[in-house]
Amino acid sequence: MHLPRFEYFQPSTVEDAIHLLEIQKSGARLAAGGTDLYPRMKYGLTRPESIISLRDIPVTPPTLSQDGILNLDAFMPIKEVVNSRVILDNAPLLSEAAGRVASEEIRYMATLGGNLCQESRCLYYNQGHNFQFIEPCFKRGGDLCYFVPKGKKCLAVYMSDTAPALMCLNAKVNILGSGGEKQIPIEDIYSGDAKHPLELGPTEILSQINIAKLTGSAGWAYKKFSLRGGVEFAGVGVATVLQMGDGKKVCEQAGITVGAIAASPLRASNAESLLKGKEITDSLLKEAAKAAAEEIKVVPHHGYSTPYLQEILRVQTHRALGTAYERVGVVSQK
Amino acid sequence: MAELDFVGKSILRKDGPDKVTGRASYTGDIKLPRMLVGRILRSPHPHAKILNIDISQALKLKGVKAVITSEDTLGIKAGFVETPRYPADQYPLAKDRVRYVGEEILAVAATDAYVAEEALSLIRVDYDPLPAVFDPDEAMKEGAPEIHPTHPKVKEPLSNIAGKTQSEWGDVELGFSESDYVREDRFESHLRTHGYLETQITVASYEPGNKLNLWTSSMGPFLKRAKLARLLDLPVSSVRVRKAYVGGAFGGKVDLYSHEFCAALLSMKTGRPVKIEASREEVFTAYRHGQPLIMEVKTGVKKDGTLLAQQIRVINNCGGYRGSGVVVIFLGWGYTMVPYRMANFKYEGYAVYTNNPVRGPQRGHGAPQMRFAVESQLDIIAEELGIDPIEIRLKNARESGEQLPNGDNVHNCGLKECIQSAAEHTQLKEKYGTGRTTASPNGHIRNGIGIGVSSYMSGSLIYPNSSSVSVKMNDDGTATLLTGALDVGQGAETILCQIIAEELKIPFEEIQVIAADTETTPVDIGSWISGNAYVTGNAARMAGTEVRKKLLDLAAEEMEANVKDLVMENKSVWVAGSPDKKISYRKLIGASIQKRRGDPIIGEGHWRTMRDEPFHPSLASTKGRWSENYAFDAQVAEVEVDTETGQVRLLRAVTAHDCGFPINPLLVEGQVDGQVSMALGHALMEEILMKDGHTLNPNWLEYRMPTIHETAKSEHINVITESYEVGRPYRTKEVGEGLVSALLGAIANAIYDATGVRLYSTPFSPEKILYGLGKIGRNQKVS
Repeated sequence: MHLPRFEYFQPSTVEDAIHLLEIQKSGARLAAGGTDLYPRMKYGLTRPESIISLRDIPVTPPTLSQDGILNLDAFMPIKEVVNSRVILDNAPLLSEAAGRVASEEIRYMATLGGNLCQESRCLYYNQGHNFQFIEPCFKRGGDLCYFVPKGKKCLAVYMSDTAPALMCLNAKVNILGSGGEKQIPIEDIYSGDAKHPLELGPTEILSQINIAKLTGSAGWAYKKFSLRGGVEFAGVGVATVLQMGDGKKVCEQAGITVGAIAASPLRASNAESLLKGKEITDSLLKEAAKAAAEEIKVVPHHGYSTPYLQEILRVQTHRALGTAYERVGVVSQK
Repeated sequence: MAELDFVGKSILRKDGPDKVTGRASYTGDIKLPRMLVGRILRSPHPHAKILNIDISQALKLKGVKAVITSEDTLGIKAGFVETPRYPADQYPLAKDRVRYVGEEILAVAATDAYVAEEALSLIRVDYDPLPAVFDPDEAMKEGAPEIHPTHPKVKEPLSNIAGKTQSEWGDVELGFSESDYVREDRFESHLRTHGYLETQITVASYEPGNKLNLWTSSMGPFLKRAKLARLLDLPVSSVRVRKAYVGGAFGGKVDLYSHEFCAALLSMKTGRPVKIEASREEVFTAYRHGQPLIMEVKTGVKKDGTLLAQQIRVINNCGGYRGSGVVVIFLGWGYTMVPYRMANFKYEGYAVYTNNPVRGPQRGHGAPQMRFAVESQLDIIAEELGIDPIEIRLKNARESGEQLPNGDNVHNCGLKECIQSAAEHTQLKEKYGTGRTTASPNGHIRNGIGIGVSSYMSGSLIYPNSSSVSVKMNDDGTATLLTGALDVGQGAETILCQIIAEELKIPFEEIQVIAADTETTPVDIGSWISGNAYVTGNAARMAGTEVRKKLLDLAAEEMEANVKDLVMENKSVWVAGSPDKKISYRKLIGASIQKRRGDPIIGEGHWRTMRDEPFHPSLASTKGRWSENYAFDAQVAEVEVDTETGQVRLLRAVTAHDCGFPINPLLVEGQVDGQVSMALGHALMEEILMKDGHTLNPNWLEYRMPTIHETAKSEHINVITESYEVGRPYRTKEVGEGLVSALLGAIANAIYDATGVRLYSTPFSPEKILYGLGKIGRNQKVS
């Protein structure tokens, strides 16, 4: 397998990159780390006429603003997200999730923005189509689903590890485009349609991620379920935050978000409300986990069945909430 | 017994420095002038008629040098088995009909990969799809789509039977009627693959004057040469297949493959070298994996655990052609016959055609699956009878000198010692049964321990049946070894050099090797029937002995001494007690050339297992001898099961094995560890997912091979039953396949011990365990 031929640009500013996007129109693709894009190109899943590499654009180190907002450059390599002291101190949930992305080698190449802008995945889709599954499925622009032959829509799954963590932290993202810059909640970048999981326009770049810092009375955890350690995408990924009151007994706000089970990360709102205002006990956490598994309908994927994933969602949510509660008061992971 | 200097020592492998420094040259590193790139067009249908192939547009593409279809071939079929009962059954390029997704239709040669792939996209093939069947139970039914007619010798009203093996001794019905307890179970194994890192790759270069040169990633060049010569109607001597380093094989590179034939024919057509390299996806989707077996096992025992009767029915989902499917149903008999005494036995094995890719051998070639079934059921029986798993195995285990029903003898057999030492080393008896009842600190982890047993033959009779080795002395007193054996990573060249070093007392590093070249090296059995250490090793030993004799005779003459008084060490000879008056090999070689009509001292050795047996045993009836060397092992698995997620972790694997004696203990250890890792993947995570003949996970990301995170602690105990003496034939046993074979059953038994969940099918997935624990509903087929 090899890459098809394409034109290659390596601008040194975001403005130049956007300008190039405008000129190239829909024939261009942005490449940050390229760890999602290049394998898809090798499979022939996308055939851009040109690649606009973002590797020469300087990366701004993470900063914490006066009002406690952590600003992260989207072009930061995942490995730097994992290692960054300021992220570890203020958004340790993101550090933990970033540390579970792919493998060590890929974490050096891949970027935070790229991890958020990755494509949704499916066994039938993520392979070459030379003699298998030749007829295009929904995701390849066709009119069928190999997984569910009578299905009416694409069932690919969005598998970012950092996305549920950022959604759990109520992160906002900056989108740069020819029309200027806008800031939107991270939820709003998702279309909910697995065929095109992201709402970003053809000349837009996700440039920055902003997170309100976690306080000392919060606990957090990201639990990724996979059959093997390292390399794998999640079967289910659960991110949790428990924001406790002053006495550290009563939960003021809870965040429970789940990745790798649908076209976007999903929030377990019922489970969150169950915890809000209550004193935390293990039986309450169990109840919340059960509620999360009931309200979130998983898409079976990558060899896992629906009943199994539903159960794993419950187990992982319970474990994530348990770990989050244990960590209340522990500001930093390390 | 004289002390050994090289054999039995943990000498670092000969190929190590080349491999770790990147100097080793693999087939992919071969670049020849004007070399073309070949690519293969494959069937998108599991079953279809080919109506028309239009290559005209591809031929017009600049850079395309040749396109070959079945019309360009001689119409000769090939097969993993080519016997009167099972004649060759597959064309190297499909003719008129395809029987699995990925079957080869045609091949192109072009100036580069881009052009070759574009050419494939310009070819139009019209198909008429036919009804297809993928499940062997369905395929056997009357009225199932016919992939091939049922074998003419099989008279039962079953469809798609590629072949059948049956064997019987004693009277099973009588045995069952005399049994105190009879148990019947059905076990299933799944589809998994070798996972060799180097994909299939071949460089062919045809020279005018009828010489076809081939470099190909394989497990032995002589079988490839014979088959290729036959398909191309070339004299065997016109085909030269030679060595490059091999990046793993594990059984997957034995047979001749279509790409090898295509590279050769394209080179003959174009007069230019052609390289064809399979992509990883092609290896996963279209090449040969291991064999998924259905195993129905009925066993009768006395109250005290004595096995009385066993009836086994095996069904092999063998794919669109026979492949090694008719071999594995024969082997299944052998893997159940050896470890335990069984007075009454009846065996039937069916290979069933389905519209899946063809299957080939994979390390153990059916043994892990068969042992999983038998060892699981043995634990079930032991529990029913209230006997512990060690006692029931010791009661039935074979002992030294026992004759097997087919006429083989187990000779020195350390099976009981293997079982005992593995159990004692792990305190199995003390731990067994405690895992389920002992709560872990966090409540949801359970520990379990289990044992499995296996036996594996060490060399059998398959073409080319024998190994020869030549040793020639060099003027400087060093030796050069010529062997047809191909080192596929198991250390073949290293152990052969150790043997020569031992016989001749030449430093190991000073033995040079020329290996695996059909033109310059003698024939070799190949690295696939676990016979290298025994068969090729004895040939090397014999060649060394001959050289040794010549050197000693000369020295005796030169020194006017008796041969029996001479001592050899470090390339010199002296009379015992007078090491100061030594004569060097260098001088002896000079003397030989002077006095023996120019003989520079060359030795030859040949070995064939079961020298008095004419053939391999019958694949149909199992009659005839199978092997003269059986290795035995007992493996204990200790697992941890997360009862909330169903995930199993293999914590520790202990392998006690009767390997005869280790020629190189370090290499034996490597074999143990490698097989533990392979068994772990087989048991817990590796699975080729298929839907209607299509492969769903043709990549390393979704085919879950264990990583360093999953690696288990592997410990081993050598049970020594044989020895090596300079100048004498030896009997040692295989270590390359039997040690992947007992662990699967051991892990299944350990999971039961931990959870009470008995698994009747592989892999032991978390879903099956949660289902067994009653935590989720029946798992649906998913992907």
